[in-house]
Amino acid sequence: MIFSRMLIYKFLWFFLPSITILTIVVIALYRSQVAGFDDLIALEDEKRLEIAARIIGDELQGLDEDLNYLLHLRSLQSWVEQGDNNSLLSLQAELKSFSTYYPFYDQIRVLDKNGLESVRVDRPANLPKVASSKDLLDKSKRYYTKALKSLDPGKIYLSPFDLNVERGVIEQPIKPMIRAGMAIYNRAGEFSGSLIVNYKGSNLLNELRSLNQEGKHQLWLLNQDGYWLIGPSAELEWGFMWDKKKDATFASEHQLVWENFMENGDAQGKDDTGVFQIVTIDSQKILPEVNNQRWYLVAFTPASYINTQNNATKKSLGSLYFLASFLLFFASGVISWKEALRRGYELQLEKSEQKHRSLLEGAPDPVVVFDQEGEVKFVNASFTEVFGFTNSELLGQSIAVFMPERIYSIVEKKIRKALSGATLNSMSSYKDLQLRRKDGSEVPIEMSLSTSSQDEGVLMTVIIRDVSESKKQKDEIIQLNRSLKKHAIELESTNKEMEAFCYSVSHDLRAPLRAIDGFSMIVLKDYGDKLDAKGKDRLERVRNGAQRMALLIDDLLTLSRITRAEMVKEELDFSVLVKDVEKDIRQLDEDRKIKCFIQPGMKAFGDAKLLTIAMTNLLSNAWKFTAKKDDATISVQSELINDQIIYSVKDNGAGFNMEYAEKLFGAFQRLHDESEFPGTGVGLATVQRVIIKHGGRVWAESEVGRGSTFYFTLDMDKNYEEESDLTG
Amino acid sequence: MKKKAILLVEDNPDDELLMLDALSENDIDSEVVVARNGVEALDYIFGEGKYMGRDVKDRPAIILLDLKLPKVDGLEVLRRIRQDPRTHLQPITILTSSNEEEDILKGYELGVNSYVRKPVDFDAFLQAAGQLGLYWLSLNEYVP
Repeated sequence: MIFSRMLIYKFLWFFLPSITILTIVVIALYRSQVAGFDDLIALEDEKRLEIAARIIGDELQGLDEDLNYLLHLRSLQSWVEQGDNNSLLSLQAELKSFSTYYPFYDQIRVLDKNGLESVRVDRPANLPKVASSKDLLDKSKRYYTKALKSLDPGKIYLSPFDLNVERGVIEQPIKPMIRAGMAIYNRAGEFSGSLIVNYKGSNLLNELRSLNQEGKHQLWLLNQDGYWLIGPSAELEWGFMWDKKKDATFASEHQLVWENFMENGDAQGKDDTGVFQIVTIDSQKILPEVNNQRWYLVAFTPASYINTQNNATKKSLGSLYFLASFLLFFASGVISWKEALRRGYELQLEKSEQKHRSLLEGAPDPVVVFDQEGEVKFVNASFTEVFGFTNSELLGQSIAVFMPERIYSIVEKKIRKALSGATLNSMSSYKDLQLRRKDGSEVPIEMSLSTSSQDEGVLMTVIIRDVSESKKQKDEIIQLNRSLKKHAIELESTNKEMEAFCYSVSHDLRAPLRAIDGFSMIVLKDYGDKLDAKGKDRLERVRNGAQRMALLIDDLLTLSRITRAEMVKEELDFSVLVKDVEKDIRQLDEDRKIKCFIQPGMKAFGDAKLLTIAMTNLLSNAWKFTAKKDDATISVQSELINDQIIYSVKDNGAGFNMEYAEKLFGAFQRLHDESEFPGTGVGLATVQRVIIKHGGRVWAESEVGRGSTFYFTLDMDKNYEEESDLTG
Repeated sequence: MKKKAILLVEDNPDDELLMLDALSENDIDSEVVVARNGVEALDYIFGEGKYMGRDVKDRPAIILLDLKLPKVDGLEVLRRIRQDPRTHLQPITILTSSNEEEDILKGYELGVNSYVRKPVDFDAFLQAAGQLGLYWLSLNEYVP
């Protein structure tokens, strides 16, 4: 998804500018091609016009030479001076001969000073012919005759370029013609006549026409009024000769070009039909002795030809453009594909780098990254917090700012190793080090150091664990342990004292009791006759008291022994244990008929000796308190409730008031009269001591007169057990 | 043949008197030598101190040994007697108020022949004394 979008983006980024540049280049190329073509046409036209002008010039030059040649013919001179028939005949012969070699003069004639033809040589297609005297005409009324009469010697008269007219009718096929002549003067310098040649224009025109290139370039010739002498078609030529064709002028057909030329002198012009180049030909500029006749040479290139050429350019440039576009498209595709891939990698790299950075940044432990020179490149938030620096105080600084000399040397060693390439990307841990805070105080730390090879060398990443807290805790634990040990020692000595106390109780308290009982007995026996009944009774009471106290002492000893006893817990067949206890009790009191139900298969995990003591007490109690029942029943059971075995000893004896249930398990607590149920009141306290030592709980339910049930558990809470193991 | 003596090692004069009474009550007429502490007992056994020159071979029929004694306690007396090759076969009964398991075990470990707890009830006491006398002085064969 991201990749394709990036691809499109990259593609456009490459393709759009390059296609734009290509388009501009191609358009410019086209423009220059077109302009170049226009220039080429202009240049060619110029050349063509130059040639055309030279052709006209050459013809006029020739005309000049020929006229001067003819004028200086000896026969003409002698005819002018003498006017005799011989001179005329030789003039006729010479003119005829001339005409033979210069066929492009349609007629050559000599007029006398009155304008009458003296000699005329016609030049039809085959041979020249001298006109007979009867064919000679009066030309005195002709415009050229008039013009020649006043012409200075040496000057040449040149007629307009037009079509030959015979007897008022335009000769067909048309015969384009220029008449040129000179005035003839005799030696005395008097006007004696004139020499006139009819120059056939078709030659000149054909020569000019030969410069045409059909469909491409045309060369036109216009007279001074803008009529075509050479034009696009024969119909349009010589328009001035016919009334109905008076409008057929270049000026009317290409008005704008004509006007621009006439008014502004723009030699080059252009309209819908094509491009034009025009030059002016003035006869006087070619031959100074000639009166001026003006023509215009027009080079014309039709628009159709230019368009064809331009279209060809367009076509070739177009295909070039198409090909180049395709190549650009393809190249852009390839480049953008590669770019997108590369960018994709870069993005991925950036992303992963960012991820790593944010991982480090967010790490709860201080992290610092530095290069092989020890220059800090990165610290995370935790680092600045623990060490009290700001980011800018560290970045680019030496790690010596917070690293004491001793640790710096460790790090330096590691860098050297890494630079040698031995342990790249390995990690080492160090303990019991200190780094400095900004305020100079030292922080106890552990650190792990890892090196990684980068483009710019070796980078060290140090993850620091601030152990000041855990060190404090460790110190506290050591302190606690010490005091615990002290307590344990105290406890041990207390226990020893307790043991010594009990030992001495068991010995030293019993000895006086024995004396009291023993001597009372001896008095009774040896001196009984000296005592009355009351005295004997009192001594018996002394003995009873002593014996009872001995019992109390024994029970207390048992109690304290249980407290001190070392427990040996094991899997027990509880049913068997209880049965043995029952048997022992039954032996002591064989007269009692008691139904005793002991659930078979009961298991227990505990100390056999202690449990025997406890069960002895419980069963003895049951035995005792059912003494007044005829159908005394005792049952011992176990039951699994909520994963816990609850043992119960139930009797149907005297029971007790539940109000006093709390007092039940206290030492020397009795709920019955001694006379009723004898006992020391230590039994249940002993039971409780045993059960608590096992980690269990003991409680009782009872109803006066209906019996009691004593419940207990042995298994302690697992957690409690572990805890006690720890402290023990 | 002269009847063998009984050595009563007892620091408490009351207990001594009661024992002597109980023995006479049971018609035991053997000589009863009383040692009031451990040192006196050892002196008698080994013919030292107060009993200097007494024949060590003249062994008592039975030693009734209390444990809690001044100077040298009962168990130490027992140990020394058992250590000495002249006396190590001497029959000894521990007669004491203690019924501590530890005392009983130590007594037997040191080679006592019998361990009797002094009852508080004098009737029981008399019975015990009678049985002890009967057993050790008549029933039992002396060590040759």
